[in-house]
Amino acid sequence: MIELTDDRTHEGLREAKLAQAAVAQEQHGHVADTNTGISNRKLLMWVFLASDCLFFGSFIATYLVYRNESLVGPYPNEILDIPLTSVSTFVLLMSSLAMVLALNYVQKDKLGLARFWLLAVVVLGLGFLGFQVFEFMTFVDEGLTIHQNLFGTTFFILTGFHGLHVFVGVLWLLGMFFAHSRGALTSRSAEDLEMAGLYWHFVDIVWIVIFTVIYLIGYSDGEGVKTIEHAATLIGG
Amino acid sequence: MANPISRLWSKIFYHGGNRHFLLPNVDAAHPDPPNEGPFGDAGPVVAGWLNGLTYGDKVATPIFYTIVGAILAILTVLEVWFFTLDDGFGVLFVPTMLVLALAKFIIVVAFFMHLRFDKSLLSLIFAAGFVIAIAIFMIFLSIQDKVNPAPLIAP
Repeated sequence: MIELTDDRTHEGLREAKLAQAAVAQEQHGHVADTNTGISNRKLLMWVFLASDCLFFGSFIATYLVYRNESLVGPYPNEILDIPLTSVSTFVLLMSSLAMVLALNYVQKDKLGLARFWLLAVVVLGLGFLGFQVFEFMTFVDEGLTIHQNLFGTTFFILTGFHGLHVFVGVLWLLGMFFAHSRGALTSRSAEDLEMAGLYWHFVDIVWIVIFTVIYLIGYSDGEGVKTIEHAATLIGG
Repeated sequence: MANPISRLWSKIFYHGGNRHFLLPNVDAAHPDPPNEGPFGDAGPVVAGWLNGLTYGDKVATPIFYTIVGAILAILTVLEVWFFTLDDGFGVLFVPTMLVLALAKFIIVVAFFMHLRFDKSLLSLIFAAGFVIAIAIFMIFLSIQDKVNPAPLIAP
């Protein structure tokens, strides 16, 4: 085996790293000058998103722990509106598509198209919030408040915090849109939009879980069991 | 010297006349067979095809993202359709829904959030958060007897 001197090893590694960085830069934009090759802001954003998984994971777990435990109505099977929520889910998914298209066009310096898709994200995000406000108001009209029962408490806390995340995302993207209008957003500063995009997509994936677990799977949830006799009544005995 | 019939017999059935069966000249006959595995040489071909399909500047275009968005929309429609079927899945309903949700989750994280294209350290960080969240989730449900609830028995 040929022993390389430290210089040759170091030079070879350096050349390999440079070649790798050149390929990555050509394919996916800027490569940060850090130990990891990832910009500190991007790394921080991913750490934040990982921690946000724990935040929402706790709320979803709490919701599931108190499933079928409400002793007074309204219960999920009486109040959840699946067609309406399916439409709002579709709106949020499409906003994610609009977001990734906006970023793609910014990276390619096609700023007109980027601006259009960025506005589309804001409009679709506001649309989702509109659906959620309508849903909350309908629930309150039908007697489900945050104080009414365990379902109301866990449902409003979980979906409310998600809605708050969407609201913050809309404000962030509106800021990006106005910055874009002033010419502050170009391919050189595409990472600014990428950060907002990562946050927005995360909000989307949280909703993917909420929609499945709380709405589709949890739709059949009903009254909690109070006594043995009550259980017998519930199962028709 | 062996007669012609014996020579022919050895030539056809034995390896070099040393009474080992003549094995067909396949990859497995080599001391270090290439593409060893249950799928033979299909593995690298499929891997290369998947890599080409999901990675690279040639595919990370608006059309590519639009196709990914369409797949997400189709999965959502499937979810809602399965939900509307009356007992169409029975006990498989919950696993089916979870698999579809997981597929959508992975697609968004891999392509829209660019983890498929980014450095693997980012995937590791996010996966760590996700796995810890799921672990907390399962521990939480377990200590509340929600995973395998005890049967309701009259005192």
